[in-house]
This record gives sequence, structure tokens and C-alpha cells, in this order.
Amino acid sequence: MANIIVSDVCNMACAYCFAGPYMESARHTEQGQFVDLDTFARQLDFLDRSGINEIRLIGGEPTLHPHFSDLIALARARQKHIVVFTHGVITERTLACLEAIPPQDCTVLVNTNAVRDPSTPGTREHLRRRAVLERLGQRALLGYTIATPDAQLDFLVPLAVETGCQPKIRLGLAQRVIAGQNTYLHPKQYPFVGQKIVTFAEMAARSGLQIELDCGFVRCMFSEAGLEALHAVGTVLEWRCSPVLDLALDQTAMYCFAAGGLFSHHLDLASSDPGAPSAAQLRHALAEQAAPYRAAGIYKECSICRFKHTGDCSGGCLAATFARFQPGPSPVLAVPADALELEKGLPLTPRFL
Amino acid sequence: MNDVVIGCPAHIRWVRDKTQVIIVDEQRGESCRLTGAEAALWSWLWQRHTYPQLVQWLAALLNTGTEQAGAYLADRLRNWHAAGLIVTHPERVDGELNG
Repeated sequence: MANIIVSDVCNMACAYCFAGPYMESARHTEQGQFVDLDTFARQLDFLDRSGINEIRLIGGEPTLHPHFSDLIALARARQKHIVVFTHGVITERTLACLEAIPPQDCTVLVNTNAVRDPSTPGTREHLRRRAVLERLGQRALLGYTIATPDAQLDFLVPLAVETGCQPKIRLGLAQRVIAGQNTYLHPKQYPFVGQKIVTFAEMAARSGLQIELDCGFVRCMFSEAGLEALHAVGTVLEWRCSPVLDLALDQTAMYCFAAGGLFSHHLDLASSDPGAPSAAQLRHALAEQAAPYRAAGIYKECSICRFKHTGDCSGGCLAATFARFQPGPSPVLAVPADALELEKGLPLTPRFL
Repeated sequence: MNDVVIGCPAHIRWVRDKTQVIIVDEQRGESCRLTGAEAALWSWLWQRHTYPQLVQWLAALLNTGTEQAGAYLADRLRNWHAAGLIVTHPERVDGELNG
């Protein structure tokens, strides 16, 4: 799996946006706002040599790419399954392009709570999104990012049923972006939200809909009874946080948007070196980079949790975990020099910690 | 003899967990864990207490005299210094920091 960032711009203004800091920093660089077709072709080469048969287009808003249909055509020519992450308020031309792809070859993940103005959730956006979903039918998968404990999920069920989307709803947690100041759901609020998800999953199941959880969820945000209920209605439960591999316009391979500023590698797409890293090798390198922080998790209890110890739960989002770490201040303490024996010339004895 | 000022190098980050302190050395790409009195001491270290205060608290925590607590503190500082978790600063202080 690898996400290709094809657009550094978006025409929505979601307060929880993970990509906001990335787009903001990209604005101050000389790179263009959209991937050019040559680079995109090299990214497809990279996916080919990595053995990845799916291309996932993200942004910003990927459908704002002025040559979006060309991107789709290039990907289709390589027989890639296409996944598009979009806010769903798309132009007629883009919609026609996506409609032309057979449903089995494409998934359009529509973020249903993307808004132009967070202070006035837009009815116009909802209406257009609904019309788009009706046209996309089985190509569309509804997504919702939970950014506040009072998130209202109920509308998703009739929306999925009435528009004929895939019978699944993908829920995500708004995660703190290390390099930014987005609105995010604090881990303290997770148990409350967990209970809400259980109720929602049971309601969705009565309409034949299955719930999928995106990355960053933790097992302990659900009670044991809640977990049983989620299993009973077929919820796809994963407590994971692993490098997604977001490929940026500047050829940086990031762990993900939330942790991207700290955990990234440069990827030389133009390299003809047969030893150039594959996606799997890059993911491994990013996981290694993040590994020291993985000793902890989003809660104080994570480092002694048996589910984290066995790998059943990642301990939550890497960015949220990293945010718990503090730098040791310096200078901080005056120590009698003889206590450290620095002036006596005595050897310092390393000790394994 | 003058005091030596210690602090954390910029590549060290840490977090206090339920029963331990986890320290990440970003330069080496490694983490280590401190438990018990070591974890308590590490946390106290960064709260801008004085050296004599730390000795007293350690004595209370370890239920020992101040001499043993002082030795324990000095031993831990030497080891953390050797492990690169703390560094000494070249400037000397004469009472300007922590008395």
C-alpha cells in the first residue's frame, strides 16, 4: 500500500485536516501544486517494481488536479485498482471520469464531513455530495472523521442506503498532526467515542452496513461488552498504526501525514539503480525510524499493556504517542563536579539501561 | 570545587509512563526504560530542584541516609552521562543555577 499525493491544494477547510500543515509548507516551496504526468508515471513504475497493484490518490484534494482524467488513464493503462480519497464535492467532468471506471476497478472513499467553512457546515456541499454518491453507486465508500466527542454519525446510515454506496462505512479518528495545530480527538475522549461507535455499529448493522475502523484506534477505548457487540455485527477491528507511505510531490516518502514531518525518507524516483528501495523496504525503514517511540503508546498504561506487548494493539497513533514525549531541558541542574568525578579523571562506567 | 551544569542533549526525549520512564535517543535510534527509584529521580531531575533537595528526596524514597542517597545520585548521574542521556555544559556556575 502506498498513497500518492497528486495535489497540494484543497478547496475545503476541515479543522481536523491531517494534510493542512503539509499543504501549508508545500506552498512555500518551488514545487508545483500538482504532480506532473512524468513524475506520476515514475510513481507508477515505483508501484510496479514494488508489486503494488493498487494506486491510492490523495491530496489535498486529488480531483482538483487539472489533468485528473490523465492520471486515471495512466493508472488504468497499468491495470491498477484505483482508490481516490476525496471530499466528494467534485465537478461533473471528474465525476464522469470516475463513472467510466467499472465499479470493481475503483473505490472512491468519500469523506462525508469535509466542509468549506467549519463554522457553517454547508448544506450545498451535502447536496452535491449526495448527488455524486448516487452517481458513483458501488464505487463509493463513505468515510467519516471523528474530530469531536459530539460527532453525529447517524446520518451516514440513510446516506449509504439511499445512495447505493458500498455497504460499509469507514470511521477514522482525527489525529493530532505533529507539525500542525489541527483539531483532533484527544485520547482521553476515546472511551466515550468508543461507546458511541458501538451503538452506531449496531444501528448500521440493522441496515446491512458494516463498519471499518481506520488506523489509530486502540482496543481499550472499547469495553469488553462493546468489543463483543462490535464482533457480533461484523465490524472490521484493527488496532494498527503502521507506515502508510505517503509519497509527496517533492519525492519524500512519509510515514503518514500526522507523523510526516518527523518520520520520512527521500525517494529518488528517477533512479535506475536496481537496488533502489521498494515500498516494502521504505515502510520497513520508516517503522525502524519510529521504533524507539513505539516503546510507549498514547496512554501511560500502554507500555505495560499485554495487548501492546503481544502486538495485538499498536498503542495508538504514532503522532499522538510522539506528542507525549518531552525534550529534556538544558541546562537544568548544578551538580558538584566531584559527584560526576569529571575532574578526577576517573573512567565513566557505561551501564546498560 | 565549582559546580558543573548538566542538562539533556537535544536528541533526547522522554515520557513518564505508568510504572516507568521511557527515554528515546533520537541520534542512536534507541530507547531505554527506567523503573523504580531511577524513574523517580529522572523525573525530579528536570523539575529544577537543587542537588541537595534531590539527595534528601532520594534518601526518603530509598529509606537510607543522605550519604548513601548522595552516592546513589552520583552513580546514576555518572551512568546517564556515560550513556549520553545527560551532558555537562562547559559553563560553570557559582550559585546562579539551583543555588
